[in-house]
Amino acid sequence: MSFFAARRALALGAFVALALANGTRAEEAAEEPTSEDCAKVLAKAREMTNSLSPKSLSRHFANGLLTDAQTEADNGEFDGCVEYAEKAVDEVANRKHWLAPGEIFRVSTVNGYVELSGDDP
Amino acid sequence: MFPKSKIIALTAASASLAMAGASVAGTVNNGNPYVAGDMHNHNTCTDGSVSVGYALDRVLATGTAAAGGQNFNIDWFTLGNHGGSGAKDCRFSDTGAGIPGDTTKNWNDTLGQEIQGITITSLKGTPNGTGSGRQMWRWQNIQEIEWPLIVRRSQQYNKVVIEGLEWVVPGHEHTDVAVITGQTPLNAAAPGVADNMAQFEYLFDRQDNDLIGQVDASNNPLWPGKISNAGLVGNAAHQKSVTATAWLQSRFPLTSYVVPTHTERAGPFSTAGSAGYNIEHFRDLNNAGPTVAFGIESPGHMAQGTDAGGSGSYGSGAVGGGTYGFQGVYTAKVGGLWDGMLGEGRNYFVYVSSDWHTRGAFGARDAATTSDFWPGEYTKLFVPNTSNFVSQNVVDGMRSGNSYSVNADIIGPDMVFRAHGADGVWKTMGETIVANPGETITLEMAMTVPASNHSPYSFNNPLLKPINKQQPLNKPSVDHVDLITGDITGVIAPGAPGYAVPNAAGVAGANIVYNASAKIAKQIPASSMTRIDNADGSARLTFTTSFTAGSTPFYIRSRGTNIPPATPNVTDNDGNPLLDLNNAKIPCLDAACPSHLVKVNGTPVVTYDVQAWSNTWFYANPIFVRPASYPQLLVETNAALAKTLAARASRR
Repeated sequence: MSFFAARRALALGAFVALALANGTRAEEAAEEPTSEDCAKVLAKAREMTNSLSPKSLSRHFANGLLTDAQTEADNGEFDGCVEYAEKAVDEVANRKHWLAPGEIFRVSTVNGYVELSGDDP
Repeated sequence: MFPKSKIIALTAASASLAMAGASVAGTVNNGNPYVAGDMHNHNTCTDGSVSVGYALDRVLATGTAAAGGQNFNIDWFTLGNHGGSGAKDCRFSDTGAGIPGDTTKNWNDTLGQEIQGITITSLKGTPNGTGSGRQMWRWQNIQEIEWPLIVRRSQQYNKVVIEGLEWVVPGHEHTDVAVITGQTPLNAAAPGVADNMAQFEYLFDRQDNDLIGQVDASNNPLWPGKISNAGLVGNAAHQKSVTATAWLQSRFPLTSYVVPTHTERAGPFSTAGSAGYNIEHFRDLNNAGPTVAFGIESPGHMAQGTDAGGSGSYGSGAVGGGTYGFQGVYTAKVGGLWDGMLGEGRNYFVYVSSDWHTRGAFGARDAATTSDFWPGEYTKLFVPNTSNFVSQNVVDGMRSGNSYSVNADIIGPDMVFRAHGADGVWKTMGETIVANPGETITLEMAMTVPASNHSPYSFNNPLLKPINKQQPLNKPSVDHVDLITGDITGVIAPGAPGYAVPNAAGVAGANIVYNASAKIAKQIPASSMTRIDNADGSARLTFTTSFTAGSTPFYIRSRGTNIPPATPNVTDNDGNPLLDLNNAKIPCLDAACPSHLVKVNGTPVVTYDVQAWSNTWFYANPIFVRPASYPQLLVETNAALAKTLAARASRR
């Protein structure tokens, strides 16, 4: 089970929660994401991510999330796959990460490091 | 370092229950009264980012890794990976981890090859996946990959290393489990096996759907009795988790533990699936495993917080709607679920671990992270030290309750939290003072605030800027300590009113009160404590205070933080942590604020690792106080049970 477990169902909209009010108990009917759900959102997220410039910090963040999503999918954890892929979609759609002029982002890689700069075109 | 005489004084009250057969060579004593560990973390055997060997080296070694990246020199370590199966050959790290020469490989790529002295010739059990997706069941992985690498590293670093499991629990989220019987990796002549851990995983993990398991030379299954997971949800699945706990209690009552983790994350318990826990489920586990199911673990994933929340990997659907001072609401809320358990007098304690998977947007060698911290980097679970520390001491220390949980090295390995009544006999965490009504309970607390932590940032804490307080992120600081008390009203029987309590997802879950008597009884500002500044830059803080024993039992637990009460968007007027999501309302304006922070309207805000280094807490387990005329508390009878079992075992 991925570390996103059942809360995945919230974002999928497949979660039915009868309102918990005045101390009454919520009952849930959760539908676990399938490999098809995972593949669909992963493909969408990849397409959106690849539309960004290779020098985009948002693209870097989204790519990391896609790697996590693929790891979950490879282990049969489709809830985690969908969770990460949707985070990647959100990253690209809302561009939560970007570099101001003069800002540098450096991350180590297998071959050394990559550096992104707010001064890049 | 701490004088050895003090080590003896501090740990004698919770004497080791070391079992017969645990007399293998232990680790060299580092001189501290408590030793720091981690029991929940991952590698590429499941969904972590680095190989087993690389993770062990970074966690156990000193100095800097050969390819770069600080090592964290943790005192003891339990490898606690998910159950189920995995497609990756975890002798290799993911390419994305950024470790030179180390790229992703799957089992399908490497079968039959000798790698790191280990040759996997086949994937055992029920065939699982095809091609590059062929998966190894975790029980095989535990026996044939993780265990031999643990043996090697344990001896190389002369440290206690345990093969554990993050059990994917039927009916629920996850739980830390270890079965140490058979594991003697420090004994080079007879390092033992992790077969008991593997068997538990095979029999009881929700993601392990293998129906064959280990077989003998004639292919006869060796692990009968598996309850299929097929169609098992809700209460039926929960019953399997209770059966699993009873299985541990009957076979390994002193050499195993069951500690549910990130317990709020999946929301409330679901009768239709596998989700979170309600208080009745913790009660069921403690009832089924009085000496093995003795607590819960607060969440790891401390650096995942964004402007949308996410610290601890908690989303808005978690019970409580997120973390509070980097704890889940069950433990962070005064009067919350933990206080509900303690209000019964249960032996139920709190622990912390890293839940290390990945650095998020960074590589494994980078000092920054947008996801997790390495074991030993940020979270530390302290258990009592001994002169000959072995794995049994980890389990004994956890079970006794004489342990405390620290984030960001806010305090060090020599905390004192003890109290006595008129008899003058000190009792520490997990123990019970027997006192007459009206008797004065004298409480003493001492802690060392280290000179530094592992933060790569030295700019001033942005969360404290609105109150004009300057405190560098890499220099730990204690603002105050809370002493939290609650009444004990006795154990609630299964099915009795109050045993099951309605639970709720989101912030509504934070409004549930499980023990209305719990309160911050005293708040001790650091400025009022006795302070001794040490030559190494650390500071020793001490204070003594008193309580009055009543006619009914109660408990005293403690927590401390660097955040003053009424710090906007961080703590309320009483000093309780607010929903951590609020931290992101504060800008990070120092020129040294890193470029990876979330930007809101063009301004970086307190998120990710900067948030974690800014909002720091420790939690100490309770001391109990009981009138002489009152029946023994469950925490006492279960501790007595453990001693009886230990004595019985030592006579065998």
